[in-house]
Amino acid sequence: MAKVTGTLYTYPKNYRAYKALIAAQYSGAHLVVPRDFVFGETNKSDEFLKKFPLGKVPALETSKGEYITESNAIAYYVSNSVLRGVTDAEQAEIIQWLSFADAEIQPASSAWVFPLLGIMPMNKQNVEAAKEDVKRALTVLDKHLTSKTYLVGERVTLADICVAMTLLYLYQYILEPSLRESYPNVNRWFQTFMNQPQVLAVVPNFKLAEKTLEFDPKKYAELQGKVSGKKEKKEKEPKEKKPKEEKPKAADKPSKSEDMDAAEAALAAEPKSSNPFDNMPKGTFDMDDFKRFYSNEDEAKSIPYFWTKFDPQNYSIWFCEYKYADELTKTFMSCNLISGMYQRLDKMRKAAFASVCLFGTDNDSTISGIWVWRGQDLAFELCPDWQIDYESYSWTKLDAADPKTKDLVAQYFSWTGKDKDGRDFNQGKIFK
Amino acid sequence: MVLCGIECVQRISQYLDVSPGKLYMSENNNVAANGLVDSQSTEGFSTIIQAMVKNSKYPAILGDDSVTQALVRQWLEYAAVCINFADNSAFERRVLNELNTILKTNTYVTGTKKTIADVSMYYSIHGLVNKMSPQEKAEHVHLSRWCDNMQQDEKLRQSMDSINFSMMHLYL
Ligand SMILES: N[C@@H](CCC(=O)N[C@@H](CS)C(=O)NCC(=O)O)C(=O)O
Repeated sequence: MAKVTGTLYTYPKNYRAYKALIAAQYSGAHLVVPRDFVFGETNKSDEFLKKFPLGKVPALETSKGEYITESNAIAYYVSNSVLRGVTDAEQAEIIQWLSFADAEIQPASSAWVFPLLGIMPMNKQNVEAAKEDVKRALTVLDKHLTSKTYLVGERVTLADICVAMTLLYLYQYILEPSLRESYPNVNRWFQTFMNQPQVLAVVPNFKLAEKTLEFDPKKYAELQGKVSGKKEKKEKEPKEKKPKEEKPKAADKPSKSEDMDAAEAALAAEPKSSNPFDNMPKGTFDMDDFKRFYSNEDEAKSIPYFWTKFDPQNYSIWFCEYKYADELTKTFMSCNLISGMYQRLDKMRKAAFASVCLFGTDNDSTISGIWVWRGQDLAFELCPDWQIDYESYSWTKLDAADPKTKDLVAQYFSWTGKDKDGRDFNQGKIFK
Repeated sequence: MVLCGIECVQRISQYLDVSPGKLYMSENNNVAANGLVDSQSTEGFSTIIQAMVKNSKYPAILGDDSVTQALVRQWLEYAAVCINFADNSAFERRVLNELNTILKTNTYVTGTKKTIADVSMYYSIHGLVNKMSPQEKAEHVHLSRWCDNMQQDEKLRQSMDSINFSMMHLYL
């Protein structure tokens, strides 16, 4: 079986795309996710619709010019023969579990999770029905997994990949310990699956729900405002490129299944509504004040100023390195890469500062930098809007008390020094 | 006869593609090896297994993070101290119940990945599981599930019987 190579169109963190990405980790298929994919734009462009008339993602374009949609089909195509099941009976069982995931778990999971995420109206009756459906599906799975380590044939197959991914939101947002304790066999299987190296490579840092999300009517109102506001604006635009009978997005009472798609779409767009920095304590470090000082004064003054003002309780310092230095060619293109990232992170400006530098010359360069932002976590993970570029960098949190951090900050804030392989500083860009 | 003795170590060495050195039983009735580490003699099940892994091409099977590594050592000791003497029926029942309990929440003995602790456990208790009735297998369903998964690996199973678990479903 030849290994598939291709482009997988999707927005980040799409559990359906994960199916294919995980299968590819097992099979060695090479999938590239375009970094400039914009949900709702790329997949509605004429060019995309010509290849994929439904305009849905995930969608696969192979290097041979084949076009495949439907996440299960894509995952199957990029799988190897072990994932697909060895005997006829195993293959049939795998299809059984794929259908089970789509029919018995996915609709119920969405109907339970989406209202809590604020992307679907809360209808108690529907949610109660969904809870029952989820319980039933989990009970069946639990029974099956009593005497089995994996769903089919004592090793990981597509069945595990697709069922686990369909349960992802439930385990992430809903199934707090008291809700999952009745399914010990499913829990054991799910955690084992999530800890396989091939899965960790695609879904790192997964955490089981500690507490079930609670419905927040304010969040729902806010999001609906955004979604329908956006829609009105779009409809008024004169040069509407979309086909006329585009279905309503997250409208009030669309049919059940269309509503799900719209809700998932909204999930991808969700955090546009709020800036995660707003919910964090401001602390004593005044970002604007520092930025002003840095712009107006020499680094000999602004670096000590930074250290007297910096508030390690409420802010963190990070070092980033571009992962694909081998692909960097012309230095001006690399600089555009940095400024493009800054532009896309506009909303981070209020509580973040960075100096990112290019070292070396054409065809032999690296990019690295120092970031400072509010909060202790990797900020990009808090907001899907901020996730276009960050995965192309490795991120290390620095200890503000460590003298090495002082040296790095001084080096990057003053645009001096060399990269770790000794390439000279070439250019720097400040995010402020 | 002890369960973590010469035969068990030999099987593990074969699985790891390494020589166990010259094996014998020490005065304390412990398995011991001559020439496994330099020309010295090495005594004790856990010590010998760890030395063999280090000599093998599969050092990662000792666990890939420090917690797992600690658990591996813990379970190798458990094998040496408890499973070793589980050829008497009171001990046997206790060991089978304890293993069944740990495997209820863990896919493998130390968590989510197969380690040398699983391999050692498989060889040491194979005989005990093999003689269980279908009903006993059902009563220890987590242990049975694990054992069935382990024995799919032909390199691991070597010439040992493939244990039949299909009848246990009648009692589940
Ligand atoms: N059954 C499809 C569903 C794909 C799907 O609904 N994708 C959503 C996002 S997760 C989408 O692209 N929606 C765009 C739209 O409805 O226009 C699959 O599994 O791939």
